[in-house]
Amino acid sequence: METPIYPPAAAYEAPVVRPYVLSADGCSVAELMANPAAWAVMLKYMPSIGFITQIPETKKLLDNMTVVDFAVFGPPVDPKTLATINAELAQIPSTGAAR
Amino acid sequence: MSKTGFPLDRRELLISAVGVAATALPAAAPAKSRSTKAISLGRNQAFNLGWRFHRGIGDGFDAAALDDSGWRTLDLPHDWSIEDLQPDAGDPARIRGPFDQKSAGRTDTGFTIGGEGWYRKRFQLEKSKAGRVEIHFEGVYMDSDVWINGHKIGNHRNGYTPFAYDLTPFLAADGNNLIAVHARNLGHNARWYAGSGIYRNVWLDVTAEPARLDRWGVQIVTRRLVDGIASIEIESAVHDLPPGLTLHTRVRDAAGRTMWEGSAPATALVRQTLSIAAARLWSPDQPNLYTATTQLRRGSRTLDTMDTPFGVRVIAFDTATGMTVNGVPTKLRGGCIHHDHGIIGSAAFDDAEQRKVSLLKARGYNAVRPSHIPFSPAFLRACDVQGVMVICEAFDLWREPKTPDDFSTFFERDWKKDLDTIVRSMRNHASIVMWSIGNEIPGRDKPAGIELQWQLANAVHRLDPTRAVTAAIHGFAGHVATTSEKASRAGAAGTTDRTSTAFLDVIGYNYKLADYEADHARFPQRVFYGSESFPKEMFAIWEKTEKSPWLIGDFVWTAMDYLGEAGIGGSEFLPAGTPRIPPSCWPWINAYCGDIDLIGNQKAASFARDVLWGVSALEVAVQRPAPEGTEELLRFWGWSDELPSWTWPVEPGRPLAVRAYSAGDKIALELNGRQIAVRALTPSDHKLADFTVPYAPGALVAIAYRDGVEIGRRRLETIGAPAAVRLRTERSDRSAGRQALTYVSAEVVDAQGRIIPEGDHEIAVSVQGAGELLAFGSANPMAVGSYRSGKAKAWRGRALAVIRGSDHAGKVIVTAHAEGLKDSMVSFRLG
Repeated sequence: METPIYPPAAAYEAPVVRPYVLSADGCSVAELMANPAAWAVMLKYMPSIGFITQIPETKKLLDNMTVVDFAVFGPPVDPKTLATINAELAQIPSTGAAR
Repeated sequence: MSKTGFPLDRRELLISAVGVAATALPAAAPAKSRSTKAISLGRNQAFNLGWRFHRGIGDGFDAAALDDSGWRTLDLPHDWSIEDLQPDAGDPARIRGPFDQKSAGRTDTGFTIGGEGWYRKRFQLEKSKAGRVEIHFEGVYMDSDVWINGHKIGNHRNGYTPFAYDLTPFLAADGNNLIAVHARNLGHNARWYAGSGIYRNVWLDVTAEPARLDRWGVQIVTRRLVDGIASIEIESAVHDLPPGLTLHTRVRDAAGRTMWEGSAPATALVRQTLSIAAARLWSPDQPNLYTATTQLRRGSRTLDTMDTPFGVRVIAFDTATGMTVNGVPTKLRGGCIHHDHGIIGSAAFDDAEQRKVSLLKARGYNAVRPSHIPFSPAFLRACDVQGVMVICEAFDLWREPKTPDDFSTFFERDWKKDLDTIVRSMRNHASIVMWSIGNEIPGRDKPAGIELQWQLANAVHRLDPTRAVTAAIHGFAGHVATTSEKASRAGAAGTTDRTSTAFLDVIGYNYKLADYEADHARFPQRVFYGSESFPKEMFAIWEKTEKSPWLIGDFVWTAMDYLGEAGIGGSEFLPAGTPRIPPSCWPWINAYCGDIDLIGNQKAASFARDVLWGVSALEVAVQRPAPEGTEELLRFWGWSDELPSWTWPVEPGRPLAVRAYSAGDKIALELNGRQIAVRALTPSDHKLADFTVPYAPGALVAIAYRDGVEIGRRRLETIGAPAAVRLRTERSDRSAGRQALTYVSAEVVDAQGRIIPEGDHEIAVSVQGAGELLAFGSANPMAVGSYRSGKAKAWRGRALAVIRGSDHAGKVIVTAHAEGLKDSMVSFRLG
């Protein structure tokens, strides 16, 4: 058997992000916060997320966590509310590019 | 405020105020060693003995002429953060031992503090011998400056990476030299206990001529294994090369037999290929090692020589077979660990590193994820020798900080140099199976973060194309994207993945058990593992891991308790209906999420894992009875407060929760000789049988069966009154010297020698003879207090003394005393 080889790639080119729709479980909190219409939806259905995002310890996580990920540390998001949120978020245009 | 703009601890203030170079507190055990012998030619000459140390700041401490005779003398490795602080007379409750309620790091650093420290060492070099002299530090925490004879020779900011300086231009003509080192651990720069100072070994390399082998320039790679024959490639880098030199390599097996020998004209980079027939392969079960001795020669004269231990093995990953070691499918039975050693702090004694690895190996771990930094060479050697696979992690953050003063402030300047050093200095360790470029990195999915991921992964691949690159990804892993042919990993062009994972060869998932199946379905090309997981999910995780080839293992957070991140584990009894457990605060000092406690004993989760991984067929624990009106809430990394104990201060008849973990299919319980319950275990029970047993003092016996055959039996007894302290020494090779540590457990026992499960007596230990007390303490996660005083309260019946050898062989006598208990004494010989 051969030792696998992991050769370095030739050059950097940014990955092309596929089109997506905004959602509470498919976008980072930071991305939703950066989109006023989307964040208004979040605050309407999950007002506690506004508080959570102001805690110093969680600010560094906003890029890498979805709202649902944060629910691990607080009240869980019930599926019905999540579906309602996602339905409204889906109506809001996303930037379609990696943040 | 100090001149650096950071607040100083009280000790620093005291010293600054009087303006003298004095030791703030007397050392608990002053070092006795001095190194006076002139240093001659040779690599890796230990440079640990006889340093002078001053904790605090001051002017002119780098000057060769400074009178440092009033400074404390000590031997490395040394960590000043674990040493006692000066009590605060105005606020006696504030400071206890090394713990300060007003610590900048608070729970992150376990209420310990950093500050600044100076080290100085005088040494004599044999005149006219050296062509080149280098000093090599394995690690200084952190941001260190180094001077030789008053000349500054460098600054190194990363506290976890090795570095070396050329001393040659500034050596004194008379051979008498002085090294000064200034280390700064300032502000809130870590999310865990880092330690402070020169906490790893220091070495001196003296070579005969400027021509020399590159310190980390030997790379040994197993290319292929065919019919028992291993094809090996060795590259050796040489510096300042004059004509006419030869590079000679000899490979020996563990018994010292020469397996191969070859020479080549020395060039800047020499490549040698060789074969070893009937090669003894390295694996977790059989960690066979070889040693390559590389020599730079002029004719028959050897100018430089280096030994490089290595293993012959082939590690591969694919979704169909998972991870293979030499073709054998292998799951990573892993644990995350931090680098501190509890009551001795971060001082990286070889014996402490070996003990940590041994403790894990004994519990069935075959892999560790040193979090989130490169560990010491001694730790990696222990993993090589004991057969524990390592994911070597470079960074906990990149450009964006996690704490205000952390490595992000240096990252942009230093990452290329640090990554180069990490990979080149560690690549020959057989135990390292993957390189991790980061853990839970903030900003990784921003455009600059994605590009940086690519740069890091490819920088590693350029340095070592034989190992996979991974990272630990938590939460949201970015949007789905396609990578171009130019930017992609080999074979990955055109596939879709998330932006956090697109450039990784193997993906680490932190706390994402719920996503495993869905992600495998969506990204079937991924090989992944749990890079961090909650202890309470161990059974569910392992069931999925065993049946899923693409899921190659799991690393629990954590395998062993550590200082800092205080109180993220464990549980609390709170009034019934309390929605959430409050965050931990003073006096919590350790994380308490480990399988193994701070001094090396098994906690409840470890007993369960013993069953999970087949170390034990049966383990039994009893949940601590909840106080009236309360219920137990677990922290995120917690485990129920269970003990393998049948000694509880409750009225007979009180129902107690008994949990039996077993790989069997039936469990029977007997109380005081009478069978009280029998329970069948099915796969849906996940190896756990719950019982409710009315308490009655005596003996509770659990018996596990499989197919009608008894496979395990555990007996819990009601223990008698505390009667004695018992000292027991852990196995040791009993070598002498300042690096030698001997671990002595102190246990509170009843008249029959059984450990008192809740024993909390204060024990005083003393050490006489050819050793000194390095530390004494317990695993209590809330035991703020000195580790140097020789007094500590036992916790759950146990405490631990760590004895450091002296610079001469001899007998060591350890005695222990506790009020109202019979004393104990043990003796052993070192050397």
